[in-house]
Amino acid sequence: MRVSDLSAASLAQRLGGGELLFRCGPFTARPTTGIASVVDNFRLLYTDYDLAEGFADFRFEIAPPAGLRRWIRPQVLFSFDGDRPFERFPADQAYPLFEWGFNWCIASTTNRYLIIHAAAVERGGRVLVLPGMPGSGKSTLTAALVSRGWRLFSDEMALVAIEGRDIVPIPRPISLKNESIAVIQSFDPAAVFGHTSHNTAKGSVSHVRVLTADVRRAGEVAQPGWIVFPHYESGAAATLTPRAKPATMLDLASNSFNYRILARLGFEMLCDVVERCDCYDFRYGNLDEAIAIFERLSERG
Amino acid sequence: MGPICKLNRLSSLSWRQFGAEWAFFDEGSGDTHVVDAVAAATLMCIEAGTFDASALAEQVAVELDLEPSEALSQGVAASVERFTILGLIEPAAS
Repeated sequence: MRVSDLSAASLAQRLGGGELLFRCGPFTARPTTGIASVVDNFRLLYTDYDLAEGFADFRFEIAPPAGLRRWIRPQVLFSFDGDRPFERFPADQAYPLFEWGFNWCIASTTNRYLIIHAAAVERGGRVLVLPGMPGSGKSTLTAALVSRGWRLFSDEMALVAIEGRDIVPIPRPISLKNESIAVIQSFDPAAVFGHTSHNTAKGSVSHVRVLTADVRRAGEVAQPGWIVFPHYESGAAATLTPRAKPATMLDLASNSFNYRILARLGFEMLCDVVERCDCYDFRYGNLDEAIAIFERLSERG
Repeated sequence: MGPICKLNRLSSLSWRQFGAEWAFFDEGSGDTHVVDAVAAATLMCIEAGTFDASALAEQVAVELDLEPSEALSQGVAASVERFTILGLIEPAAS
């Protein structure tokens, strides 16, 4: 049974009562919320996800705080097992908070994978890992690649399995910000967007629904093939420049959420991943050029 | 004869070679470093035993299959200084 099998009323009732458990990649999550904008976006963006039963890896809630604030200037709070890691957010940013909170749950509590802050997409059985700081164009590039046939693993975190060092998919809606929203709406008119939240800490934020096929293939891991550090620069010609593996290893370590926690195991895992991959810096200013370069990269194998 | 040094007792190193460079992880600090072959050989020798400066340079030359030279000795000395600052090595009781 999937989220899409539930009526709008049933979904709202389950989410409101903390009775909806769904599978997302290797995890199960039980969100609780009665906030209409979150329910509506969830219904739109998670429609293809399987419902689950039993144990939840993550139980979190998006809810208004108690008190007059609820009426004067509506706000929302994220809580995870009673912990509140974020400040209150304006109520109209509830859905971004849902996604950011979900990210926080995975990044803060999961150590059965090495987690690298990076997007990951796959083609031909090899995963392209795209680490990048905010503003590097990582998510925009990811959305563009997915629209041209690359399979989405994640736009936010690459999970490396301890056994085999494979990359494990956790396909979730792609978060786009500001100008990138219109760019992808134009580049991929078929993309399904959630509602846009404005004036967040990151500007305007909207999420793109994961393709049904990518949700269905979330159990299929693949080997890491390329590590590419993207850097968007307006007007720049697309150029792929080989990158030294030791420096790549250090940069990935500093981009990992739990490398230090995993300690020696994390080092061994990261070294194994880097050894297997071709490593590059990538500068681009045009998505069509960028796609063409990655097509050639994947054809070379 | 120079000062004698040894690996910090809290350090425990894991190594991986990437071409001409080495990455290593220090379990004691949780830090990861990348070094060239001379620095790697220097630290590996210290990890394996206790050396004074001149013996260390000779051992590094053997490990790297190089002729002893002033330049190599300077490279070893610079590495020792760097690793001392990082707290990876410490003076050994003579």
